[in-house]
Amino acid sequence: MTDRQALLGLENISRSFDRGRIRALSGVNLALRMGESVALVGRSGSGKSCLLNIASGLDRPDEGRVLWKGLEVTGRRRWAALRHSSIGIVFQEFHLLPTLTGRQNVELALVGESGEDIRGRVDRILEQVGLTEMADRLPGELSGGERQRVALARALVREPELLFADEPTGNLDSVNADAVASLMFDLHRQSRMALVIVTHDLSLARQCERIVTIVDGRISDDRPGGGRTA
Amino acid sequence: MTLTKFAYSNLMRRPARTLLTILGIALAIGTAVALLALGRGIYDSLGEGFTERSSELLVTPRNVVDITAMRLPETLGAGLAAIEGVADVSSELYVFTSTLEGDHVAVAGVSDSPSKWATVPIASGRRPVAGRAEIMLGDVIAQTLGAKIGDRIELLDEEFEVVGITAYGTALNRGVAVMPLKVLQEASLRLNQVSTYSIRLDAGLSQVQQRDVRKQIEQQLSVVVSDMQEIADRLSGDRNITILKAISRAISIVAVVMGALNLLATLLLSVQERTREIGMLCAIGWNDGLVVSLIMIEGLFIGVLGCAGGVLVGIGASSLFSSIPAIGDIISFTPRLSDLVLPLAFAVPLCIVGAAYPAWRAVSMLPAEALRHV
Repeated sequence: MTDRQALLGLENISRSFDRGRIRALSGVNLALRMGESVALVGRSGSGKSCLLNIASGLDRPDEGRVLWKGLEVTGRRRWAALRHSSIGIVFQEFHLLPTLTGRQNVELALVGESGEDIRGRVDRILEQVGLTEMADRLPGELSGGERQRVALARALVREPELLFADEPTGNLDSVNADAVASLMFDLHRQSRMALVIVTHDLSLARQCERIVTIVDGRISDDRPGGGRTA
Repeated sequence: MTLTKFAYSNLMRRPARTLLTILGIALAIGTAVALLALGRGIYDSLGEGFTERSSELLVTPRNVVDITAMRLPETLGAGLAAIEGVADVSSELYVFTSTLEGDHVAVAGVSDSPSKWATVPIASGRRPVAGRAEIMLGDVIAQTLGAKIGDRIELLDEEFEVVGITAYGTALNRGVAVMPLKVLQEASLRLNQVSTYSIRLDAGLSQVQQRDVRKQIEQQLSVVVSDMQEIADRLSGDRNITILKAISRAISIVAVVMGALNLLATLLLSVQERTREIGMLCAIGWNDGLVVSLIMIEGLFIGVLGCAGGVLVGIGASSLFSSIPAIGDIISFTPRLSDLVLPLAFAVPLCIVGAAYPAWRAVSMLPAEALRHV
């Protein structure tokens, strides 16, 4: 595992809100290697989601820097390009557009791309997440687990090198949560993409190779999990 | 899923709001088009009116644009007739007066020239006889005054018998009363005065020769010789008409700006409502350019449909106004392509600005903030 190349590096990341009154992250350092799976665990408000936002360029740190394959990433344009080419994100709340079908929600990730077999790519990812039959349904006609699978397909359709999942099973019942988690790890292993999951669910966290615990905006523990190497 | 299809789908999420915004822009553009057609209609009415009443060239005093203030000596007619190349001379006197009931009446006194009277078309009745207190009315002024053939009406403290109704086609002339020149000169206490001379040049004169004759008249008699379009241009310089045109332009601009603000408000609201969605789009790899393009396409879609609708509304309103006697009988009201240029020249850039600001707002937020937005 240790000889794998560095993918994402967080160096001395600090972030506060409300004009410095709320310190969300303090001097966090974290390195993620290619194909690795990492669970970020901690209580609510510990800074897990904030760290994910900064690691994916959705938010800016007050201090510190983010490295992608050893190079510092700065600026909206650079981050947008990186998210477009190499990073997928799924959220607890799915963030699907209610007036678009499952297929169209997935296609959103490919808007602006041309000259490629877009429909084929969408069909393939929908098949991988088991939604071929329900692809033309609106999100309102899908169960929570199916919606999260659409969100997962949307995040993976561009075959990212790194998938961030922020409480991906947080809004699902146990059956659907297990199904989505299982799907996510299967895809992680098949594609060899790195996976970072923010979760409260320890059983989900244990399926990752590493479990990083965050307490009050600092990493308090970083230990191996039970997950297999991709 | 293309960007255009996605933009359309976003607009159709709130079809009523989209439709109302398009209608708002259409009404604004339509108002502007109709107002500009109105302003130009006044100018056109003057030109058409003079063309209908006079044959070739009109002789007027220098430096006067108000037709009722124009005064030329009646003796000038002989001088005009003596100039080589002038085939026929007739004169008219114009007076604005009112009836005892307060209705305003434009009266034209026409000289005894048979050729001049031959240009006065008759709808019913006959032409007035020289020297008698007889009058012909345009159909619109006859309707306004409630007068018909055989009635007697009092103008300029004298009583006139209505002996005929003219068959002029232009709005301007349909509101004019016509009587013999001498009768009007006496009634208006403007003896030996006329407002304008109409002259007809010899047939077969080349354009250069016609220009030479005009120059000769102007130099010898210190007057202005104009064709009908030139006289309409001069009269449209009248302060009242200029003010009216300025007002119609100003209101047009206000209407177009209101339409653009309407678009701005709708898109701002739409962007505000979709803040989290825009955050999600950024999260799945959309760059700022793509987000801006999406909102600009939405704005352009509304703007283009609104402008197209506005053109139709403007043309429809103008046609409707033309068919309303109280409006159409007074001024000509036919929209032309030129009436569309100003509103569209303002509206298109304003719609772009109206869409660009919300687009800029949408990408000025960090995606994480947008996703947290309630």
